Amino acid sequence: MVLLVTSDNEQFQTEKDIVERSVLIKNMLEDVGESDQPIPLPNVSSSVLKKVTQPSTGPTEIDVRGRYLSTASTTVESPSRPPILEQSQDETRKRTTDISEWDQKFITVDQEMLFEIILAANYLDIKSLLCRRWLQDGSQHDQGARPPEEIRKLFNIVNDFTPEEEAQIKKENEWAEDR
Amino acid sequence: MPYSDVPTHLECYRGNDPVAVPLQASTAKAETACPDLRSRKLIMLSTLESDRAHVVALAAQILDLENSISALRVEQAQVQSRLDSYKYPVLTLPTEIVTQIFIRVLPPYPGYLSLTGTLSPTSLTHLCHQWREIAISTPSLWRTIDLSDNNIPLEQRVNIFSLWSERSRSCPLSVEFDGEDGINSMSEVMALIAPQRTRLEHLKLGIFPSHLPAIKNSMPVLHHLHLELRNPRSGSEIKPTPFCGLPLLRSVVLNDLAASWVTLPWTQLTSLGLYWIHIHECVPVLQQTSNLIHCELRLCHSRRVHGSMIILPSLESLVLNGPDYIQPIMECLRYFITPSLRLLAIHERLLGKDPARSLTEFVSKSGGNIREVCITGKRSVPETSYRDALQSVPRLYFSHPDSE
Repeated sequence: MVLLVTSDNEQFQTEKDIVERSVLIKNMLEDVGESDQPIPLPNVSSSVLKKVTQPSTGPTEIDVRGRYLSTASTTVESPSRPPILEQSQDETRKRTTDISEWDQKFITVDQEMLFEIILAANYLDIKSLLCRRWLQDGSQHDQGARPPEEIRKLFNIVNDFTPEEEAQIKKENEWAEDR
Repeated sequence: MPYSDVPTHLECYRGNDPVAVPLQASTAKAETACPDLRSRKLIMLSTLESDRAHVVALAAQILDLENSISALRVEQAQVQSRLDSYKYPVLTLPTEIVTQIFIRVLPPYPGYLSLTGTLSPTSLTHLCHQWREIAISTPSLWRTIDLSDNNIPLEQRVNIFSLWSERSRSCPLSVEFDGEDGINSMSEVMALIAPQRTRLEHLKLGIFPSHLPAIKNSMPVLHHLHLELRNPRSGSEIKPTPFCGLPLLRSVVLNDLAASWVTLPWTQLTSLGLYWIHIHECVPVLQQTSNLIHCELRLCHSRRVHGSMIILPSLESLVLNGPDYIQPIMECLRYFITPSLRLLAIHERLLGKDPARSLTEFVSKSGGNIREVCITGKRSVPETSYRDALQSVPRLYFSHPDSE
């Protein structure tokens, strides 16, 4: 077990294999070796650490509240391995199942918590928790980013393009909008 | 007093049912005759009255609690709504975090990206100036370029290719072009791709043989090549094309024409797919790919028999496929010697006239390493015959597209 101390001075006894998801903590533990000394995490609050260190049986993603969560899924073929027909189909099925289960493991949080977790994940160096789901298209998994207008609305992002820039940008994507 | 202790005939005292009157009269007589019975009845009535009062009290308590819960739910919804309406100043996120998130939003390299739309990195440049800058200055977002979508005019695709290859700076590229646009358009696209040869890591092309010279030399980081050659117009001559300068090439997929006319550094390959090809056309290639680990053949029907053996000492997975209409006269497995094989997937039609025997012989000559066998295609032999024949294989399963 590893003792972690958060920015609000709460102490957490946490399983070593869970905290080692953080590259930062893993490196610290390797540097100091076996020790009872608590590890201070001055940039992580207790509420965030609870989310970050909660045990899970599979990958957990975190999404912002107030949007549609999908269980639909698609797969991405990697050409680095040959598309071995039946094996690929089998893998595809497996991955589809994984993704559906994975979808169900989404935690929805408010925006403040989402970005606290993102900042903590960056500080702790937990790449899998660098949540991207909030930027993704809600209707289909791995179908790229949500439409810009939707992202702007969700996060109050001001469209600061000039009309000329806007026209140029629209041109960049006009073939997609036609279809 | 428990209700069960009360004599059931006392129920007759309830109501003024005329049918019950004689019963009441007879029960009254019974009570007079037996004072204990009367006393038990009074106790029971008292218990019922008490329970009725208790039920009323409980209902009142439940109502109170329900009112409280409703009030709490309303309050919770209000607080949650306040939380949800909070907008995080997302533009204050550090650039390196936004960059990492952008990279993860799109399918991982070298997975499919479209040139336009939400599956394109371009969509990340449309939000605001700040994020546009971040997206444009992240080279790895721009390194997967699929030029096959002929719904997008060629001119637009050419422009996008130029723009993305510039934005991706020195990153290795994954480029796909399955030209349906005609030979002139293909030439234009190949002229675009050729100068980027030194950056190509994954390349998938559907082209005419005349375009091969543009890419046959020096692709120092090429790892995966998928090449489908189209039949040239009548009169055009196909020349054998040796590729050179591909030190990192490990994975190749070729169609029949490409397999016949292209020469690659076969011995360095660990993965090979040969599509829509006759078994005798595969042999000259497979005899040179001594380091293969994965191999997939999608075979056409062939009456021609060849006598050579294919020895693949490192091969771990072999997939042999063909159309359902193929005649079951080919017994492909007898040509293969694969002592390291762990996974076999094979279309039943490629197992010859006696599929179970053919498989058993192959498994026994493969040294007992096979862990997994998958029979694909329409089956004529029952599953139990395979299971009986392949008891030494830990995992045996069956797959057919129609059954999925």
